[in-house]
Amino acid sequence: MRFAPTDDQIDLASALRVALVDSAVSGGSARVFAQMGLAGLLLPESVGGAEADESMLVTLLTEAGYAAVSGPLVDTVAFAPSLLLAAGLDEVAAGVARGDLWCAADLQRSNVVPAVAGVVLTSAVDGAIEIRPVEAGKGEPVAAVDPRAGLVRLGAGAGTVIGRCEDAAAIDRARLRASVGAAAQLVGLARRMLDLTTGYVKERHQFGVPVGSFQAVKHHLADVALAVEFAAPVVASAAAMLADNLSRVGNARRSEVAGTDAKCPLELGAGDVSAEVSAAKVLASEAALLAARKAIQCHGAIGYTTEYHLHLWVKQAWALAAAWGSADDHRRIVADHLGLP
Amino acid sequence: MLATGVRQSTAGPERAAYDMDLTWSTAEESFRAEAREWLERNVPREPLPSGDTREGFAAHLEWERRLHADRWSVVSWPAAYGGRDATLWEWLIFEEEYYRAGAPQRVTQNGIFLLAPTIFSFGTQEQQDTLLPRMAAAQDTWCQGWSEPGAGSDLAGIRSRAVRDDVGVDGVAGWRLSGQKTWTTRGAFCTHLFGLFRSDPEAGRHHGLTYFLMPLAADGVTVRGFERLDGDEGFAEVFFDDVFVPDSAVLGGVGEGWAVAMSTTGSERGLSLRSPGRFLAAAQRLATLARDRGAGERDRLDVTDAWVKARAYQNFTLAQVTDIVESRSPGARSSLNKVWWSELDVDLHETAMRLLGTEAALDGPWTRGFQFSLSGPIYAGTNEIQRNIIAERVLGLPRK
Repeated sequence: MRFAPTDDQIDLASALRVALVDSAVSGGSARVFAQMGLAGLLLPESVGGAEADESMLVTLLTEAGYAAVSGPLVDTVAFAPSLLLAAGLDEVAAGVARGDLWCAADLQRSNVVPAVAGVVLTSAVDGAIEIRPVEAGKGEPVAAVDPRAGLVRLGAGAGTVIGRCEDAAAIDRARLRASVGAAAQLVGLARRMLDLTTGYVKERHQFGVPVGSFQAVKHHLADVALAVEFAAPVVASAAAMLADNLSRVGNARRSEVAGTDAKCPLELGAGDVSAEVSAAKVLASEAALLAARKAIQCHGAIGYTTEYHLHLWVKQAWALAAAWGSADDHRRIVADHLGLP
Repeated sequence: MLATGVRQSTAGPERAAYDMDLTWSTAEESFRAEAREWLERNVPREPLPSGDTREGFAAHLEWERRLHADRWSVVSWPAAYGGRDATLWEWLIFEEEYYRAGAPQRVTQNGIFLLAPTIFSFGTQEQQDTLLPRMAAAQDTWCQGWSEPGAGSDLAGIRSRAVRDDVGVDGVAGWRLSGQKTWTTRGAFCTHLFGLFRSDPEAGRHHGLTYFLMPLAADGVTVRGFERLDGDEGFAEVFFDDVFVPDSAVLGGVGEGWAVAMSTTGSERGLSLRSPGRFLAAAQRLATLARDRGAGERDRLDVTDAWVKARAYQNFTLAQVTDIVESRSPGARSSLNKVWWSELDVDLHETAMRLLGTEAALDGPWTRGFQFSLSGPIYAGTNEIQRNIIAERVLGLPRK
């Protein structure tokens, strides 16, 4: 047992901290993201990807959240790869890996997608995923809460289907990767909102003292720290379970205990990877929503403006907490695993 | 290709030096199997009476001695003191199995989990050799003498005194203790007490305290038990009237009691007192209750939340043990553990109360558990104090 980041994760996180964080406010971070070849993180080397695993995905998206990188990151980096490959769209995948092509998942077929997207993935009635190219930047602009979301409404039937993925395993994996990826990004968003607020309440003086010396403010931020610190390990374990094909944390690898059913007491009927991923999304969504609410409160009026940059993290957190299944959606998945009536 | 200059994820012989590994080794699996098998054979079929009553405490001591006889009472201790030299990982595994098996509460826990780590860190060889084996065997049972009527969260406000006695008794020099301790868990049933006394009234609040170990049978000690919220005599107040203790009763240095005691609060708040196995087992029982009683949509989500939070506590703990094994001290982060497990325990039991409906007015395991859960956010330093510690020492907010 060793539950801590790998050397590769630590190296990637520190490189990203330098490359992404300072560019967040300028809005250029999405470009940096593409230029660094991060979009192809999970794609195989044969199409120019980095062939990294889900643990590295968590590191990448946590840092992207910390830097408030905008754009359909989860859709492109986490959700699309296994589907593009299963549909035989290696050329499209290569475009993603080069950073030329962003993907948008539109599973509910709202036809509202980020304008940067050049590929849209939708659910067909039979459960398959259909892949369509669209012309990036086309469509009617749609006003969003997050001004950087850059959403457009596509005309009905926009784009021709160029590929279909009917492979249930690939679709399942894509959904799990998207949920854990969104959870990782939410953890990054929450951590930055906590850091911004902690920094602010140390500097801001009222009554002749820093407002961060007041117990009411301390307790708000302690609650955020608790939510973030207990979400992050579940996000990490969910990703590691996906990466290692472990059905349960604590299982012995099958090769080491040949012929035995190596069960540990974490088998609560809900120990499998899907429950772990859902638990991660529950905790990360709620941590980010709490961080957003407390960050605005503890900043006071300055947090209630767009002149100060806090709103960039807050608005991404609101959107991502609802995307890829809300906290309650994922609680229902866990409840089914627990066999609740 | 990644343009960050980092090495890509590798497999095979070039694996990163620090990998992530969520599996147990075969040795750990064997340890688990042995623990599970022993517990299945030995855990009493019928629950014991409450360990916070006189007769229940005696029944629990029988259980403790059975644990000790087969070296399961203190698995992480050296074999010479009755343990198995188990690693922290194996200790976690044992705890998971213990709660999974529904084994009795540990009435020896304040000695084993709170005092013993301090004796291992600060005790003399003689103190270790004489006190630890008897503690492991439940021959001596220890209670904590810290809180006073005027010193709870503000522990440094302790007023019970220790006055130097150079003449001593039978040619042995020592100290004379006076004052009062309270909220002493199972004080009416235990044989020994570890406590903090003010040995230098001139020194500042956190200075001049000394940590003492003593038998409750010493002359001048009076113990009065009283009822907790659930009606059991689980609390006591302890009065000290010129009680003589020899120099060998001092744990750590004279005047260093605060630092010595704080090492124990780390254990109390952190994982040693409340391992994740306890809450995973409770969440499991809650899920069973919901299946038996039926659950509406809100109950369903709340039961799920109990499991999710217990799971989060478990994963947090696995990361924390990794940090300890790799010499990264958790420090003030143990306050995160304490708030998390205590509040998830209250939430979990409130959900159980709702599932029970009007039956929640009857005495029973769930209603007892609910009442006990309410003490979690208070003991071991209230959660208000823990949140201050998190804000000041984890986040770095100013104290004043």
